[in-house]
Amino acid sequence: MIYNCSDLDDGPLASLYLIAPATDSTIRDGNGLSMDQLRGQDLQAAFSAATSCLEEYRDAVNALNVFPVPDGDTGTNMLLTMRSAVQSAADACPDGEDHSVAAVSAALAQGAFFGARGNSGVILSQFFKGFSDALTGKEYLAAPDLARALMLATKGAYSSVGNPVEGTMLTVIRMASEAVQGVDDGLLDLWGTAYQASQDALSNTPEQLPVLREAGVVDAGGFGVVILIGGALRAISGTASPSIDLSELGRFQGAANNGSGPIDSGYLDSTMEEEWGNCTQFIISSVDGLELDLEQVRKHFQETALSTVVVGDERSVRVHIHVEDTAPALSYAVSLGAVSDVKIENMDWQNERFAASGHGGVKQAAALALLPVVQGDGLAHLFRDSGCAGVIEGGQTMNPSVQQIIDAARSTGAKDVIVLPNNSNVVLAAEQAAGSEPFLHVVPTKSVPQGVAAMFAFNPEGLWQENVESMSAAISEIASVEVTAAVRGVKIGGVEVKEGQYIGLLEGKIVTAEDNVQGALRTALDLTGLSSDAIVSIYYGAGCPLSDAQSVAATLESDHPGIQVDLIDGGQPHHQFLASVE
Amino acid sequence: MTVRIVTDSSADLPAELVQQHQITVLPCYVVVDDQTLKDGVDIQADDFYRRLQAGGPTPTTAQPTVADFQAVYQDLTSQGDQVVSIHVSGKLSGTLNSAEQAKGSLYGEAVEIIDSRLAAMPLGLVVLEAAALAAEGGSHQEVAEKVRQGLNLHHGLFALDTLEFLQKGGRIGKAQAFLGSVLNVKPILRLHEGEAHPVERPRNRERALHRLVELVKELGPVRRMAVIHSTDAERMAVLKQELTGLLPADQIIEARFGSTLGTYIGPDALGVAITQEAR
Repeated sequence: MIYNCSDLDDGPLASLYLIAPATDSTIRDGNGLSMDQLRGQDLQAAFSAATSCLEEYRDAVNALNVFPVPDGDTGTNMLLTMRSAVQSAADACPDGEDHSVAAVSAALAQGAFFGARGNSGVILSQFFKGFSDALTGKEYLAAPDLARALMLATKGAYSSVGNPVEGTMLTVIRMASEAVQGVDDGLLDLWGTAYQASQDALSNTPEQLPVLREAGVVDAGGFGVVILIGGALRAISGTASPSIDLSELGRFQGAANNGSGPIDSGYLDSTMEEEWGNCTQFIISSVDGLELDLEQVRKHFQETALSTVVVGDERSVRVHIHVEDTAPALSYAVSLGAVSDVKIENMDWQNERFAASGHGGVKQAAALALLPVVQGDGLAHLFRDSGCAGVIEGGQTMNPSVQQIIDAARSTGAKDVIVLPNNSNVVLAAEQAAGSEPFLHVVPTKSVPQGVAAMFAFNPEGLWQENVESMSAAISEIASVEVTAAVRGVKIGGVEVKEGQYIGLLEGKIVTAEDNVQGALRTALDLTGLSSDAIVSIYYGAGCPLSDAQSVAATLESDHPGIQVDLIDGGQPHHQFLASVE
Repeated sequence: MTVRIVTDSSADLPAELVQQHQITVLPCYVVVDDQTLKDGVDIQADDFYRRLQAGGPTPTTAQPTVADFQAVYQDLTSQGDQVVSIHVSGKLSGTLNSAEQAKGSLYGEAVEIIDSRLAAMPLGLVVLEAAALAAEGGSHQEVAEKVRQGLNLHHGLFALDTLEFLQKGGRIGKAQAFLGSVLNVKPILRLHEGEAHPVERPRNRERALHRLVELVKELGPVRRMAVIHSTDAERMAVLKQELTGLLPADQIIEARFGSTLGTYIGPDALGVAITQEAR
């Protein structure tokens, strides 16, 4: 575990709080939250409200896709990450009690960390990590704390991506933070200043990123950040400041996007706990003043269970574990104190699926397992059939969370697991998962064809380090082609795209837009510079007839004698074709 | 008193080398179309692969019997010779069991048995090494000890057209990880610690041959080398040509997977056996 609440008790700033402000020093006007400082529950309420606000604007954020492809939806990813953050805070800091901002922000950070989906979610989770670090040991959030919290949050957000790009949500976060540094103002005013600065930064994103300008949109992740800051501000100010009107956000809604409807979030929720055994959660409370030893409890469950998350303090410890048999875990808990809030969910269907896939589930665990993220029955079959320990469902428009990646990796039972994200919007979440779990490693495949190339370079008997090296080398040896239907019209990279046209992407960049799906594939493939000894693999998608793929294969073979074309039923939902050229 | 080398037909040693070094080869049995035939005696490779590719029931193999071993050991030791008997990996075949039982039943002291942890020409190269050591003199124990010490210098890499026969024959072992039918790959396997281990999966034969050459080159410098094929002598010639940087062409042995190995390795397979220079 990276975060735990006990760290808050002895953080570097704890000494500043020898004299805690009296509770009644917080002025409340009965309409909104505190004016000059926030308590933990106020912060929680603020981000809860911000999440609701994001929910309202999710489709608008999703609509800001730069590429007119059905994409890993930024709004959905940020929302799911926020939900996880807010839920974690609600679990750790129950309603009707006083909580420190340290405890609430730590819980928010932890929830965001494990719930992070997509690149925007990962950035958001690191924002909360920084925010929480700044509030370590703090009972209240006062004006000067906000500046520091936003500064560390900005630092965290920037550190989460290898190559920070300006004109994205990073810039919006940074500008909001910079606007409040060194400003002597009340908390509410500071928050308002940050909100205004975030809007200005967002408006400016098309100036910083040509790709946004071309598409006529502002940055989607940046828009999400503005909504979150605005939503929180509205909650903090309550009805005392009716001037906070989020309707102005409407101006950021770019070109209408009618093509990509919201994803089925029910599906995502139902796949949150993919694992074997029982997902078991409970709270241990100390009885008769006997203090709980958090470290001891954590150690016990780390040794006896999977997916162990143990947080709390000497009075109350919250446990989340995955175990085959819940009885010993609960007996242990009862021996320490009063056990409450017991939740047990069976996850054995997952194990059944593993067994059905012919790989023997957790019982025949390998030392080293390969775990790809894929979407589509055909592709899932291809990866399983070729020796992967299982698959994480997800990809385009359905990005798995950090927790899902960790759970799926654990359920392989392997000593080391190499994850293939197979989508540029899953790479960061996979890397975040790897950052928290030493047994988990990532070969950053950005597309399914790259994933297949990496898989064929995989040697199950090699060390993970050797494999990461050889698999990473393998992905640089192929060209990756995708064909999908444009969900809206746009002019991008010199290519004029009309809604409904088929666009061909080479290495993630749009290279052609055509009315004919075969033509789009053929054009993109030709741009790879086909040589006579090339191997072309074409994965045809769901609803895309084999005959289309066959006719492209026939023309390729006649135009390029000696070429090898393999057709594979990928069954992927959003791409008519995926293809690789080796 | 001479030290004589005994092996089994899974070594796939070319006949002229067997003759030249006076090696005794016990034929394994292969059961094709309900007939039990002695590998290399009752059935030759051409005939075997023709029948294998014709479909029909999957062939099976059987190790030489205890009686076969007894006859050979008795014949050799009764002339006053000592025997070093080197065989296919105990993880792949029960041949060693037959040999051990035969040894236990008679003249035990004059026979040394070695588990090569290899098969096919990699085993053949161990046998040639043993023959060379025996020619230098020394007791059968001394020869056997030197052979055992040098075992890790012998390697075998195979590029198969399919894992179908390895799987049908129940010898898939660690190569299980490379099973898969969605994409038509040409798996490269390596003999290691007595079993076939997966190495990588090139997407077609040309690349498989290319990778095979690269992998072999990584193991150089080499002292002995053999190229092996099952049904495509022309591709083997290409493979040999590609490897002439490691050894001159006239020193590279050309061999063929016989019926025993062919049962598992299938048609259109290539292989390379090497003995590394001692470091």
